[in-house]
Amino acid sequence: MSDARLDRAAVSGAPAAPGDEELLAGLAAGRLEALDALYERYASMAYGIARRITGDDGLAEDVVQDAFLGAWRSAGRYVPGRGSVKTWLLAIVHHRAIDVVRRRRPVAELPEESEGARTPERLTLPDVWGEVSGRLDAALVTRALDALPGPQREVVELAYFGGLSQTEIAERVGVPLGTVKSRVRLALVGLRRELGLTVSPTLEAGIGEGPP
Amino acid sequence: MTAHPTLLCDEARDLVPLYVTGALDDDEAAAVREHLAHCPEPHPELLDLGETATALLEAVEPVAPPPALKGRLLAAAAADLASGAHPGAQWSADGSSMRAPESSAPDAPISAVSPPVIDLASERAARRPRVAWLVAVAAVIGVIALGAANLGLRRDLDQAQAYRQGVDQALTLAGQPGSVTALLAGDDGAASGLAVIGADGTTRIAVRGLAPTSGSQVYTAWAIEGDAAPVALGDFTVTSDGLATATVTSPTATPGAVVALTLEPVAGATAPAGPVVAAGTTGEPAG
Repeated sequence: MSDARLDRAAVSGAPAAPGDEELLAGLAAGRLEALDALYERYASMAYGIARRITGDDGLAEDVVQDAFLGAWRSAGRYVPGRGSVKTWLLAIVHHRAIDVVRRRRPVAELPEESEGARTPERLTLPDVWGEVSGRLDAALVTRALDALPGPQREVVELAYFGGLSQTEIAERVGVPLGTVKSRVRLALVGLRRELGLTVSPTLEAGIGEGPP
Repeated sequence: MTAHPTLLCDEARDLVPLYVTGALDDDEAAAVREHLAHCPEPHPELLDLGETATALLEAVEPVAPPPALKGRLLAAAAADLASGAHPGAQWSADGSSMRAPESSAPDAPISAVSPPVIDLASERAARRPRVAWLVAVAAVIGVIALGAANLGLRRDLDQAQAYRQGVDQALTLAGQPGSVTALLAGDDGAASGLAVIGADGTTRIAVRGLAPTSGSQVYTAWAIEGDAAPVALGDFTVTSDGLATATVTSPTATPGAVVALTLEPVAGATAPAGPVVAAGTTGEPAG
């Protein structure tokens, strides 16, 4: 007797799967089934990213929930021309995960976190680019990353997946700040080249950098 | 605005690789963001390197999250709607339809803008550990039904809060090991809610949309185990707000049991005599 009522909220009723942008419009309008469908589509990618960055299942769950809630609340701010819905969503996950690991790191400075006595938290939405990333496949990106010289891959992974700042990376790796900066730039330029994307001359030239 | 240094174009350009990989401190990142938002010069490197960094997310191995996460997310999102925190949750005056959210993207041509900030405190408050997906659906149904009422009126707000309190208590119990939950609904769709039976027999019921009781009338909650005779769990009355939140004790807590509400002429019935106004079947116990 209650089944019909449940199904309405539990599954999306449309026979043809709606597109990502359609789902996002549903989020903006406050439709829970659209959130449900978008979650089904990207939760595994989101959780994979959050786990990779936080290294903790529980924190990763928090990150994914916060990120989807952020998307839920701010779906109206999504700008179609600035990247795919998928990229937008995953960038929010990434941003949130980095926030979480950064906040966790300097333990001494933070008050004891207990449920109910949390300081108000804020989720900052990231800038989003990423016209291409939706069209890249995982194997291609992995190959491009593997093709980088080790020291370049190291700094970009410490920053992007480790949440380390340039200062922390310099300490960890034992190189000057300028070297960290130039390695990150070279890594990104190298990735672009490996991914078959254009590399402008200004990207090639670093300014004020130390030796790579 | 003056908390961080202003940057020259070359300085900003120089920091972009670190900016897009998240390797800048907050102050530095804010300085870059501010420069890019206001700089009349083009900064194509931002787009190029930004999309490159984002592409790295593609290389991460997907991992299925625990199933319960979706229930928590949807429950929190539903709470968002109920509290009015969701910008799309603007109910029209007659309560029958939602207004489309206004577009908030006035700055589309600019490649970098000050990022919007969202307060997560209320989502945190709405979050509840170990709440099963089924229970989240119950909350969703309840909240959506409430949303259809005119939340602009104080009385309705109070009702909404009273009901949410009842649902909150039930959800808390539902998250405990061994608890089973039944979503309750009437055939005509008027009444809906949930009943949660804890491992120790403590039973919390939250139902809305019930007709008020009059005179000696009561609603009686029953647990029906298989073919066994219904066991009365307790009686309660309902005032004009149509809400019932009750805590009673149940002798049973097995999955598949039916929980039913009947309208009885007098309290203390030992077998149901009146009509069933809402019923549901308990699901699998919380782990």
